[in-house]
Parts: sequence; structure tokens; C-alpha cells
Amino acid sequence: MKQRYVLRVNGRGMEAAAEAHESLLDVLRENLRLTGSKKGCNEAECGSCTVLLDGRPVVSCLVLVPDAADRDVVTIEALATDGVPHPIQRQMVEQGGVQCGYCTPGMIMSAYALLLDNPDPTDDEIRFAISGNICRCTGYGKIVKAVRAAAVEMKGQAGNGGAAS
Amino acid sequence: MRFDYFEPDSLDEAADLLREGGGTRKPLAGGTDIVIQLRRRAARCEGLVNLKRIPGLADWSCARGDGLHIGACTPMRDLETAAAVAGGYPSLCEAIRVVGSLQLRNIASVGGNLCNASPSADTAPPLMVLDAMASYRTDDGAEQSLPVEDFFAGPGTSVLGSAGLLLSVDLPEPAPHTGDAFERFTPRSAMDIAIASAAASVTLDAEGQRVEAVRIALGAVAPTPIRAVRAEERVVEKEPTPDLLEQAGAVAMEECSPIDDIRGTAAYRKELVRILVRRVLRRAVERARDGGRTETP
Amino acid sequence: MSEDPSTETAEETRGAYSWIGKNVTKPDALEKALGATEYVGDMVVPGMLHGKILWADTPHAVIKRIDTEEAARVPGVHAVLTAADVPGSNRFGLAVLDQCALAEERVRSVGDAVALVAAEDEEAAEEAVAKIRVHKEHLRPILTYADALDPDAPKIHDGGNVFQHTTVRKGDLDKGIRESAAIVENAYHTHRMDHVPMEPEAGLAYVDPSGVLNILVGTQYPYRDRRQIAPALGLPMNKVRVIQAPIGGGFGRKDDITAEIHVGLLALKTRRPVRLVYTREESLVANTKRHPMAMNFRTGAGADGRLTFLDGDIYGDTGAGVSLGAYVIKKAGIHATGPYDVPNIRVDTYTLYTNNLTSGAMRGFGVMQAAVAHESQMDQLAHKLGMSPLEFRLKNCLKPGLASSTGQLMNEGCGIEATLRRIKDYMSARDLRFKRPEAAS
Repeated sequence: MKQRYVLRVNGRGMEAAAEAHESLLDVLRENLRLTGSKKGCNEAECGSCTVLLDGRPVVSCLVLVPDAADRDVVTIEALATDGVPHPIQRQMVEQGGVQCGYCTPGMIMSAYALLLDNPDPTDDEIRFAISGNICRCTGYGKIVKAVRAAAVEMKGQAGNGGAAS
Repeated sequence: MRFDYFEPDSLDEAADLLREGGGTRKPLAGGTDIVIQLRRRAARCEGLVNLKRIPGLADWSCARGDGLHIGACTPMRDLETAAAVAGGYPSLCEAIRVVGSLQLRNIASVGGNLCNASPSADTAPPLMVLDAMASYRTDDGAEQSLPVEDFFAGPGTSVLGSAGLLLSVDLPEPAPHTGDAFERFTPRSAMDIAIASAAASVTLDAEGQRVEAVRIALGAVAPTPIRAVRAEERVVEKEPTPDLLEQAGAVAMEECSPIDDIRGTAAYRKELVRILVRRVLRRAVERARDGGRTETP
Repeated sequence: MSEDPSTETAEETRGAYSWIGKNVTKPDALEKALGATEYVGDMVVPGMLHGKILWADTPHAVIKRIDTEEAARVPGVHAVLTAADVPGSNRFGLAVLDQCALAEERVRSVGDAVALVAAEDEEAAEEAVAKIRVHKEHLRPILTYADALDPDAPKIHDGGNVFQHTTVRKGDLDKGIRESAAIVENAYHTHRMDHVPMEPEAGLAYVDPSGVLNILVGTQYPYRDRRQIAPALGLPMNKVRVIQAPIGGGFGRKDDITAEIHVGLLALKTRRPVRLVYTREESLVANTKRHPMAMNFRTGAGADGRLTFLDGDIYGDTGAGVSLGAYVIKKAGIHATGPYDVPNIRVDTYTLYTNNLTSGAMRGFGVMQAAVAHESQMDQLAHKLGMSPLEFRLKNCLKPGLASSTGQLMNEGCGIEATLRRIKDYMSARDLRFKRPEAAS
């Protein structure tokens, strides 16, 4: 039996009629039409569905929708502001971190969560942060480079002058 | 995969809901195992009872003198990122860091990992060597506790009845000059399930020369995670020389009873046990000599 | 960062070409990074139904009867289809038409589709699929190379289980053997492999007002898809339009038909738009894989370190359908000598039907399997001759003016020697040495 759930997605209250056994991922994609979060495996192996739940990255395929009710959900769709891509998004494009693109939103959300916690990560920390996101095209090297470049860019924007080294 | 869903506010209510289900409902502490099992139709269940919003059940604390208290629903990632856990209980932190992905550990709980009772549950060997006690509520509502090593009954089953609930896992503060370590073997470095795993805790004398106490536990090489007591006997009250640690590995490989499956053969698993036990003992001894602390990840 | 030895070449090329050697951003990368790109599984069309497939779930069987009545009664179900409902030939395949869109009297692999359902939502479709009853009589499954080569084994297709035998012959094998100072002989096996593109297969089909069946699909080859879809569904070519949707990874497998015919049939029968999205499990079971191969190689070299001969057999398991298997396995034979000059050659390849999963194109197309064998042979020969594996390869690699195993004359496009020399320079600049293999017992 469908119930109404109130979700806070990307800063806005949203209602979805869903059954309790449906996943946050399915509700985002099918009910709210936020299809940037992808369904690659539906069992927490691939990371394509990564979103932030109360500020922490989770695989939304394993979050039941009632468990996400009244909590803050951030999806890939919220990262660009006023049409301006987030530095991670722009650097993924510029560094060649995007190929088929299917892992890209989840990958960016994992990187985004990392940079919220740790604005100056080492390459090992970047690799660890994205170790739950599978990419079959790039071999990861360019993704790590993109996240590093985004971190440098964001430090510059924050006025720390961190880009020089 | 249709099921009823309940979100009780209290333990009594949760237990009532499970009891009413007469064995057809299961508790949800994280969901990273049960939800997948239900989707694959590998588990039969008509209702999930979400414990995560019951006050206190997802809380953990670590205070000097009190040891580590882990509420059953505590997300693994909370413990992984806590300096106090990494410093005081490095083997537990090492085991948590290899469970699924970071995004999964923000959902998965230590309690769920134990109650799922997989022989390869990564957190079980470290909790066993760290002397952890599992506190639980029986089917008739009584609260009891027992060592984690006695918690498992077989693959996928524990001492809990169908209305029983794991409440917390409590670890004593490590004795002085104690070190611990966990290691597992998987073909991939992330997102994999152990072919074999081992944890050890070693307490040395004040001079760091002699083993006063030792605990060794193995994962994925028996129907449940097990202690390797004969390997412990080989090491205790002796100087932890490389040769002795090697011998302990050889003893441990004869104490386990692995099976052949898609991840590896029994013979391969035994060989891994020999090597893993030697390595975790060596690292535990090093940490014991370093004052039982490790670097914060 | 250490200096990349390839920089030099990149610098040289940079001036000469307008694109080669330059960083170019992909035109569709930004929309992908924004999460705005719509793959087929993201698309929704008004009135859209959801398709589901009943898979054979058994490697080899005769279908006696299929009961669909109970499935058709599930609320929300619009169609339950079997082979009897296919208006056209029901056949497809890239090289030969040996695969059925829906299994007829025979099941040849667990990845064969037996029935289709279209319903208002995925759950109703799943429920209906679970209620279809297939009465089967199991046959002896052909699962190994030996099974497939057994003349008494049941034939998976009418022509027998050896689909193709190819040969490569060059020089005089006996002379090569006589001139050898060292010979190594080994058997190599490579395993079946899934491409695992991150996007599971998906298709969306609808019939437009002019009667054209439109199929959106993440495919590598829309025109070849159409050439297979139209006859399978009994439509003229101009009544089928394949629209290439963004592909969430292909690596060769989306060269083949995936969801196209199934979703097209459902749209034709229901006259509603239908979307069909595979689960990851379905993607692992259905559609093509990389060929497992068994390779028996005997290779020789003279006292001077020159290769003398290759004597080899390659068996490729193409599964229940050929797909591109005959080309992949033939190619493994052509590449069995690797990038080396071998004067005397006998190589035979066998493309074998089995009841395993169908194998087809995957990155490397047979060359990678052959490389496992020829490079292992090169290392062992070098060791036996007491030569450095790098020097041994430099001595034997193809150079302009030399010919490949099949007689193709090498020209300036032959880069193996330059590659090996670059490795040599790299290693000597860093004082890197080959670890000597432990003495073979």
C-alpha cells in the first residue's frame, strides 16, 4: 500500500507516494524524476546511485524510502548553482574523467562528500573515497586528477590562495 | 519484494512487532544485507522492523576507563572515522574499513554484521579478540550478555530467537602493552568478501619480551567465526619470535575447517590462515611494543 | 610526477595535427557530469509500459509447453508473449541467424529468453513472469571443449558443434622443429568474462502515428540492429527506426542485439510505448561475453635466439550462438604468433558451440587470449635460452619489411620495436632489471 513520504531533497520539501519497500533511489528516479542518480547494480556494489543523506554519502539503492523520510538528501542535480557547474563537475570534464558517463554522477557525489570533510586530500585519500564507485572506462587516473584539481580550485575560490605550490 | 515496514520508538514495541510476526518479520539495523537478500528472494520475510530510530540504539561512546560501547545500530562509518576507535581498537577499525564501500558503511551497522552471522563477517574476528560482550534481549524480554565468540550458532544464525534483539557490543579498555591487528585476503582491495580473515590481540609483559595473553580469531574458514585456541596456547608465555609466530600460523591452519566454494578451495583457505595469523600476530606484537596505539587513518 | 617518456612524441605530433596529441574535451561530458544525460533507463514516455523477460534458466532443454494464462491474469498486465507471438522470423545473430528472439522448441543456454511480459509497472511484470509455467525436458548440456568435440554429443545446432575450423600455415614446420635449440610446450586456458558496462542493457520502443516502430537503445551499431530487428519481427526495413541513445559503456557487447527485438515486439503487440531495463543479474546472464579459449602451444627457438616455429591449436567456446565468435576465434589464430616473426607456423582454430553463455565481441577481439599464450611462451623460451626476455623479444619482433603470420607485409605502422626500445631505455635510465625467474625444476 502506497504511503506519502516527505523528503527534503536538494533543500526542498518533496512528497512522494511510495511503498515502504521501495528504495530512495527508485523514488528519486521514478517519483521525483531526478534521474542523475543511476541504477547500476541495485545492491551496493557499484556506487552509481551515491547521494548524500544528512551530509554523508550513501548508496541510495539500499536506503528504504521510509528510512530517508525527514532527512536531508542531496543529489547530483543540486551541485551546479545557477547553471554554473561545480568545480568537481568542470574538472571531470576538463581532465577527461568522463567517458560513458554512467558512473559519473555517483563518482562526483563521493568526491563531493570527501571535499566537504577534507578540502585538501592526498591522492590516496581520494582513491579511498571513490573506492566504492566502479568505473569501467577511465581506469580512475583521470578521475583522481580531476578531484585533486577541483580541490585546488575550491581552495582558491575560498580565498585561501591554496592553489600555489 | 513486498513487505510490511514498522518503525518502533522503543525496544518493547520492536519486540512486540517481531513477536506478532511469529518469525515472519526481521529487524532492520542497517539494511545492507537483509534488503539485498529480500530483493534476490534469498530470504523470506513479510515485514521489516526498523530499529534505527529507537533512542540510544545507534549511539556509541568511548571514554578512558569505560572501554568502547557500540549501540547495535551504530553505522560502521561512525566508528571508522573516530580517532578513539582507531587508536584504541585498531583491529576493529581495520576490519570496518574493508566492509563494502564507504557509502555502504554509512548505512551498515556493526550489530547487523554480527546478527547476519556470516562466517566471513569482517567485524567478528576483531570483536572476538578484543573480548567484546554482546548484550541482547531474549524472546521473552530478558536482557542478557555473552562473549561475541559465543554469539554465533552457525552460518546465518545466532543465539537470538525470532523476537530477540542485539542491543550493544561492549569492549573493555585494552590492558597496558596490548596490541591488536586484523587482516583479510580478497582478490580486490575494495568491495570484496573475505576468502579468509584473521585477527589477533597480544598483551606483552612490561619489558615487551614475553606474551602474557593472546587471542586469535579466524573468519570465513568455519561455519562461524572461530577462536584459534591451540595457536594461542603455542604463543602464550613465550617470547614472540618470528619462528614462534610462524608456528602459531601452522597450528591455526589445522584448527579451522574451511569449505571449497567459489571464492577459494579449503586448501587455499588453510594456507591463507597460516600466513594471515603470522602477520596479525607480528603486527599485534609491534603495536603492543608501541604502547598499543596506531596511527589515525 | 616522474617524466613521462611519451612526452617527446606527443610534442612532435602536437604541431603536425589539429587534434592528435591535443587534449580535447568530449562534447557530451558536461551534461553527463551534471547528471542531465538521459540514458534509456532514465527515459519516461506518457503511457509507457514496463517489459520483463522470462529467461530459460537451464542450459539445454526441449520446451514442451508454456502456460501463460495465469500470468496474463495478473492485474496491470497487457501482454504475455512467447515465440508463437513473434510475427517475423524470430531469428537474429551478427554472423549467422542462430539465435531466437524467444526460444522455440529448444533452449540452448540459460541466457535464452523464453517469454516476455508488458505491464503497467515493473512489479506487475515481475509477478507475471513468475507465474509463467514452462514445461521442459532437459537434454544433456554441452559445457566443455571436450563435450563440444565429442562426435556423439547432441548437436546444439543442425550443423554440429564445431561451427568453424580455420588454419594458418607458413613455411615448413618440420624444418623449424629440426632447427630448434629450445622448445616449450604448454596448455593455456582463459576464462569467460563479462564486459560489465555500468549501464545495464535497456530499450524503449513505441510505434509512431505513421506505423514506424521506433526503438531507443544504447547500441554500438543502429543500422545493423535494424537489419536484424526488421526481419525478426516481420517488418519492412523502412518501418523500423533505431535511435541510438547514450551508451553507458559497451566494450563490444552492445554490438549485438540486446533489448531491441524484445522491447520492439512488446510495443508492436501492446501499441503502447514499452521500456525494458535489465537488472545487473540479467545483464550478467544474458548477452555476449568474452570467449573462453583453450590454447595448446608448442614454440621453438634456435641457439641464435631466433624463433623457429609455432605449432598450436586454439579452441574457442562461443556458447549457444556464434555472434561474432567465428571472427574472434579466427583472429586469435591469426595473432597466435603475436608481434613476432615466426618462419614456420601451424595453427588451427575451432569455433565451438556449447550450452554456455554466448560469447561475442569484447575489447581486443581474440587478440588478448592469444597474447596470454604467446607472451608466456616468449618468457619461457627466453629463460630456457638464458636470454633477457626483452632482448629475446627485440630479436624476434616484427619490423618493416617482415611479414605477419598471414603474409601481411609490415610497413611504417609497425611499432613493436620502437615500443620495446622505449622500455629498454626506460629501464636502463632507472637501472631496472628483470627479476630472473626461479629455476624451473
